[in-house]
Amino acid sequence: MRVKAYILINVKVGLMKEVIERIKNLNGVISVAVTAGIYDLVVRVEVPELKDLFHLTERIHEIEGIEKTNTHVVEYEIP
Amino acid sequence: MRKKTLFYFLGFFSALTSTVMTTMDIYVSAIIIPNPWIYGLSSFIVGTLVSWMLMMALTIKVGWIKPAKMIDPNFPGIRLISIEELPFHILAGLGNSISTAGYFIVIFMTKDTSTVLAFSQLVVIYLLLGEQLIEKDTPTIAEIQAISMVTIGGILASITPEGALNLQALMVVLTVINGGKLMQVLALRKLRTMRHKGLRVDSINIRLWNLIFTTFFFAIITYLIDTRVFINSLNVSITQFTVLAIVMLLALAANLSYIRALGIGKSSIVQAVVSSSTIMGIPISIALSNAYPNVYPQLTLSSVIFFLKFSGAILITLGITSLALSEVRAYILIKMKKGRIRESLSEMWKIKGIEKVSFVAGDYDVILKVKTRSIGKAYSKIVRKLEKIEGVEDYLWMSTLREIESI
Repeated sequence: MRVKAYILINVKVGLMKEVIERIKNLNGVISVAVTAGIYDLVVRVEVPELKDLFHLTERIHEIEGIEKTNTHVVEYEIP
Repeated sequence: MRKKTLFYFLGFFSALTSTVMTTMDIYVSAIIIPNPWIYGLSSFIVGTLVSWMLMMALTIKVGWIKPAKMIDPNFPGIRLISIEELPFHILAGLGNSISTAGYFIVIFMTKDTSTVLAFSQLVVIYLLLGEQLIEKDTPTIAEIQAISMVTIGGILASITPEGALNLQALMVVLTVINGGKLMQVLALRKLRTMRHKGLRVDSINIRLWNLIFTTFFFAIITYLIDTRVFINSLNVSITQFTVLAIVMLLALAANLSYIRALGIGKSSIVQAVVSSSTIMGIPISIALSNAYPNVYPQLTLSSVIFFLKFSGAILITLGITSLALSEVRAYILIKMKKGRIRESLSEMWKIKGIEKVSFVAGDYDVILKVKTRSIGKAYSKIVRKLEKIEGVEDYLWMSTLREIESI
């Protein structure tokens, strides 16, 4: 999997459970973290190519309850 | 099978297989191969052979998959180790051979599964204390609790049927077995974080090469103890091949299911589940001593002694489990000053508690993944160090309330 990214998501109040249920099953999603702070969810994804990241983001946007997403593509990481 | 069910199944299967293997070790060393050194070396020789052959067979494609990839998806095929990996494999092999030597001495001394299994969990304390020493750090309540529970539990679980403490055996475990295991665990941990040709080093290659180095060092140890043992071991490897192959395949099964479980869930939970082998050991010891009284020592335990041993086993498992569950996770979003990236990244990686450092493109420049044992450590270990890094302009701490991981 050559493209890795963190997608920071804000969820509409009251729809958290449903959103998590639908996101965690998407192909490419490695982990979903419910966080306290400026974002509600930190989702780690790994896909073969950038265009797959585009498709994955499209599918995430189809989920009801997702207010905003902010994608950060990983350029380099340790380990 | 749902992933969570598979995860716990693998963990308990690994624990059960280890317990069965230990009881078989006692039987074989009592009836078939009385000399622990001959038994040890011949089982390693057979084990290495059998494991390599099995993994080579599993590398052959069946349909569209290689079965070996189901055990570890990172497995690229059996390969030679690199120069960077060599010193760690040497340390791991040396540590494993020393701890196994101690293991056979204790089996020979006590002939009691529950004692051996209970004592070997104490290595968790060594790891904890070792980490404390390196960090020059004060332990958290969670760690003190875990250390106390595992120590007391270990001593309780090892009480003999007559109500005495087996101090000799305990000494061998605390020094030889756990010392060697510590060396092995630390070297293996380092190997698991390394990369080879861009890919993470996989567990199967680690295991196969670990067997080779362990056999090599164990051969040296036995040669130094008694040169005749060396020749006899080679003999026994051939004459008792079937028995040894069965025991070593059990060891391989325990190890592979452990590896696969690690791929699914948190390593600390796997450790906790696997430590349940201590609890399994007690009823199995009792059943065996009734079935084969000439091999396993009479374990007609008074109810008090039984209660003490059982409580000890439960304490050990509880101690390890509570440690596994005391975890604080977070993500830190960082904005960097212009042009200070490279040194800052490696400085961040050095901070204890930072699991991953990712340089990203987006509103933020770096995302850190935090995993630490208490929220107090979050400040003293992480935030303070982060503030010192020159390149950091601003950071946002986001505590993880819940994390769902999938494979």
